[in-house]
Amino acid sequence: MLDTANPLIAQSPLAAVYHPGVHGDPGPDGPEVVLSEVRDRALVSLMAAANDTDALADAVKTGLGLDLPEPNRTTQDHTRLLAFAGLNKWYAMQPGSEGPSLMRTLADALGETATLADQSHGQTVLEIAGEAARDVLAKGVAVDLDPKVFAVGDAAAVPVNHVHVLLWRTQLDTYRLMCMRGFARDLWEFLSAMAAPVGYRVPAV
Amino acid sequence: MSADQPFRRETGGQIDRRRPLSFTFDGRRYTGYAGDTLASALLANGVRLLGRSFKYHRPRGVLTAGVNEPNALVTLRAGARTTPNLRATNVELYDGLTAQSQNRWPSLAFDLRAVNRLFAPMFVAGFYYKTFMWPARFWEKLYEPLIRRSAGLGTSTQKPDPDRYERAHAHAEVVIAGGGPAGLMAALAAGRAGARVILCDEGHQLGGQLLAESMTLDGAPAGRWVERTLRELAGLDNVRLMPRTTLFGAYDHNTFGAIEQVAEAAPAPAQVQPRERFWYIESERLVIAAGAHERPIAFAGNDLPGVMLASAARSYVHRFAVQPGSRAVVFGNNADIHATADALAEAGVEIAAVVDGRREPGANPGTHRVRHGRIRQVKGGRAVRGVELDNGERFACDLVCVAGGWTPAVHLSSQLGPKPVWDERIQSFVPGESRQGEVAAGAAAGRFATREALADGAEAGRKAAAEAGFTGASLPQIPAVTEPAQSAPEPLWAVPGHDKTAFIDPQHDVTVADVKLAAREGYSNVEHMKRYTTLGMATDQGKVANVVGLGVLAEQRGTTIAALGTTVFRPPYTPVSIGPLAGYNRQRQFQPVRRTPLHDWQAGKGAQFVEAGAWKRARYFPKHGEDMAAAASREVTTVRSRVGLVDVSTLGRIDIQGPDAAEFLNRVYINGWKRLPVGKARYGVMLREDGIVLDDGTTSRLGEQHYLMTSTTGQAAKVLTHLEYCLQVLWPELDVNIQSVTDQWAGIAIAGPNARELLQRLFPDDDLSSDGFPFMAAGTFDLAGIPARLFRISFSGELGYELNVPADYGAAAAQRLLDLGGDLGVDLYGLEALDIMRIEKGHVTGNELDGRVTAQDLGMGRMLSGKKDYIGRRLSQRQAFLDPERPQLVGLKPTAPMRKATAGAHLMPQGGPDTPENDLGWVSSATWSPTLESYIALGFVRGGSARKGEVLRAADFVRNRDVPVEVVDSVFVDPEGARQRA
Repeated sequence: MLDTANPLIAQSPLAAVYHPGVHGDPGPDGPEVVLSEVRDRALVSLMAAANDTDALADAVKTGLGLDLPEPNRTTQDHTRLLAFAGLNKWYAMQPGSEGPSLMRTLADALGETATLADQSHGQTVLEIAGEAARDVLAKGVAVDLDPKVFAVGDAAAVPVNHVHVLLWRTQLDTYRLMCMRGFARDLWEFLSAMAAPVGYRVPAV
Repeated sequence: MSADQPFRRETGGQIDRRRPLSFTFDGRRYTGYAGDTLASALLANGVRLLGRSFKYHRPRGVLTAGVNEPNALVTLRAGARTTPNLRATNVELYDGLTAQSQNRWPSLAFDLRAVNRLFAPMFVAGFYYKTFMWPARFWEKLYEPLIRRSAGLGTSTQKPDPDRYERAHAHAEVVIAGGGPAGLMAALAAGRAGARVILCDEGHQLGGQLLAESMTLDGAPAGRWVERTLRELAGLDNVRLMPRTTLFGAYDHNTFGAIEQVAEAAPAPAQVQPRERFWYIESERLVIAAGAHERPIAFAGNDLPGVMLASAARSYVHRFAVQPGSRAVVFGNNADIHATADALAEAGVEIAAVVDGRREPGANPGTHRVRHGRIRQVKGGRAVRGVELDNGERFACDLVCVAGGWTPAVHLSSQLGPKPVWDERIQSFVPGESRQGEVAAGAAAGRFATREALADGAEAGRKAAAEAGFTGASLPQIPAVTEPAQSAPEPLWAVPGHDKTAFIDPQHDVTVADVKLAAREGYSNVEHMKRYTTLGMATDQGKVANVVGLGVLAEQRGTTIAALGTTVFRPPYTPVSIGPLAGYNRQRQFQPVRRTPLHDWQAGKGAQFVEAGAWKRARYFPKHGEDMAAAASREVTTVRSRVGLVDVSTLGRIDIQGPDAAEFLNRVYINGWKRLPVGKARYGVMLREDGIVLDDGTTSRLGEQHYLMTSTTGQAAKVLTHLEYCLQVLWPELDVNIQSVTDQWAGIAIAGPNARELLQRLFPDDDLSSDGFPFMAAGTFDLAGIPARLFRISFSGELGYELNVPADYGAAAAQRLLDLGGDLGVDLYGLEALDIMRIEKGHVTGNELDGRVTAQDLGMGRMLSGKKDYIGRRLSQRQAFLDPERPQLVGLKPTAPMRKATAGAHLMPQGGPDTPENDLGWVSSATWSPTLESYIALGFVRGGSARKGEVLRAADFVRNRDVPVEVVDSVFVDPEGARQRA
């Protein structure tokens, strides 16, 4: 009866509210921000076993070729990004990968120095880009987003409309926001409402 | 003069005559110009009567040209957008504006409640306390509604606000309150130094007094300098100019609250634009360039429409090109009277008299004849008709301009804590010693000359930026100023005469007589006088009245204002509407909503949702118009007879890893965990330190050093916090890491006699037989290439499994189960059916685990391990907890199956009186059991199962129910557990 070759179809938590196109009140120059979801990526949380962050940092350097990010920082290369997320907690994100695969990669590279958990589905990553992105974010983010204060590569754990968000800056005008999947739709709706006055574009998936 | 604006001058002013704007006031149509305020446009049209007063319903007009307006309060817009109590002097005119006057009935010109004036003796200071003390019961029913109806301000709408509001954060090194000469100069100095600057000004045009007074800067009209300065500031990336934004509150650590009127100058905000925005501003330094407010002099009839502050009259002339009257008397205690007379004369207003009220009159630099004397009384009914001086001279006029001296806006300074300091020279208070580096500049510091304001502003901006680390820039050049001469005022608070119509605080109808009465009756401390008379307690918070009131009080007490002191100012500087404070968080956006991976899929199946904390959970799936009870009963029958699916994604899931994981579990659970094999689940109970049950749930061993703990939905966050605390504070030596993986997984419980058959179809290659995957087994299975977790656990008491799949696949997996099980009778069930079945099975939830219950009370005393220590162990053995008379968990069955014992009911003995002594316990959960075709309940009763067979009363004193119930075993269905172990 069951066709095992028939794969299950994945569904984004934003499926019901993700509408590609231009929304809100764009000015004559068009929408000032682009809102999207970062799909097709694996995400794994890392904790240092026995609180030995030095050992973890060494293993990350040796095994992944990356620095373990200092507090409120991210590090990245062409393959993956590491982000500091709190006391003894980091995330590894790899585009074009799946959770189990990244879990295996990290387990091989880090051995017993790390405790891993697949969060590929547990966390949703949103992106907001554009010149007005900073002003839109300022409607929900209390930290100073001036590039002199919050530079490219910086990260901050912040509440956004009461939802716990890990925010990091990937480019001068591009930010990513990661939150628990259950709140993703709510956060999307909040960001959409805050972006509406300057107009926003949602790209096709 | 145009016909429709008879008091508008042909030229001059900061208005745009090419942009006429149409508006209505009390239903009549008028025209004004872009750049007008509602007040200036009404004056241009000759409308002088704008409102009725608070207590006596006296006719009132425009007193000021700004934020300190006490009289001209209007209601803007209509319907759901009705906004009351706005100052016409601050309302920016727009096309289509509709405004209504307030506090009048039936009309503004003819107000019947003006009869209140006949009862004026009753409305004196302290009248609340004197008149309405007795009988007390009349207060709520009679006096208060009566006062509220006849006294007061505008009426707000009861309709939901259709507009959007936002909150936003801003960061700067230097925040400047006020965009007049001092503020603009401060912004230049700090901006050129490279500091990030935010300049807020409540008005729609920056420039402050530079727009309102006749002066030249570097030989050119002041407006030119304003334009040039604004152009430079706009070109500085680090300077943010925020007009229409009131900095209303100054708080510790240089944080500020401000309200921006984003869409005020329009009948309705443009699509998706907010009406107002609340700004939370963090900075290093504050420059207070908030200016000063001119104050009146109290004399009889000084509240009639046509009596205006001298600076307001000049502002209407210069900024708005409006003649505030036809024939004016100018009166004051300082040199401003001359500039005022000149301005009015230049605008074509006839000068009836210039009256210098000083004992030692100043020199007369002007061209008008100056009389020495004081206005004793203003004559008129609904408008000024003339004045009478104290020497008996009378002058016919329709405008009286009063220059009583200036009061610096010390509000923001005072909000930060410093007490305002009396300055004898200017006869007013100035900001006290700086608390957190704030600098007052210009008029706000009591330095009223424009040259002083410009120089002060430059230095304040430089200093603020330097203290924030931005040094080195040279001070901007101070332009040369030509302006009318000013002088310090001579103290003159009230002209003796008819004190009862000599108003100090026009908005609250507080007169000279009231202040004197307060002093006579012993309320002579400033704080007492304020509260006894309500002086300064209206929406303008004493901007007009405070210093005058203090002056009158000091004279009455024979002391000085310096000795009296002043009251303190608290935020907000001007009234703030609630909308922008709430921002996005109202109605359905009041708080964030958490949705399960199956949310949309279940919604598509007709789910009715219920809120469980932040979660939305599917409660039931009605078919063919079923109500909740019918749907839930059908769903229970589906599970008990065939197979059902329920979304259990909301359960807390905590990933626990490390060599010490088993030891950790041993310490947080009451039962033992060391011998749980890999691939098995176990039920566990956790206690708080005080021995009370914290939570329960199953924990499965996924690997040698890897466990997955589940908690109840409601306690998930609390349990995680508890475990974090244990690891970080109590046992940092344990090599264990925990993290929440709740959202990673979609949880689907599959329960019912056909559950195994259904799952076997999903996992055709795996052995799910009772031997292959027995009760309490746990394992990872491959689901079409996806790693899924399966647990054989049951909450319903049926043969049950919990399937976890990565969240994105949740809906697809659930749909596949439905597709695979059509012939097995599979269907969805919701939280309601789940709750019915857990009561039938005697399983506890939050209703039972209410923070008062021990493991022994739940009949789980045998789970309490004696071989190890765990959290709560010591206190769970307290004498009181071991008392066999403690209420313990039992089942309750009404003797008549159709009578419901309600949750919350007290359990009382048959026949006994309803007294606390007789209270034997309570009903915690109750439901209709479709399985037993009877109402059933769980509850706690003294003596517990020893009372089995006894009939008690479930007495619900709230719902007035009294139902006989028999004490039975807490497990109603399948007490041997044969079904779940099948």
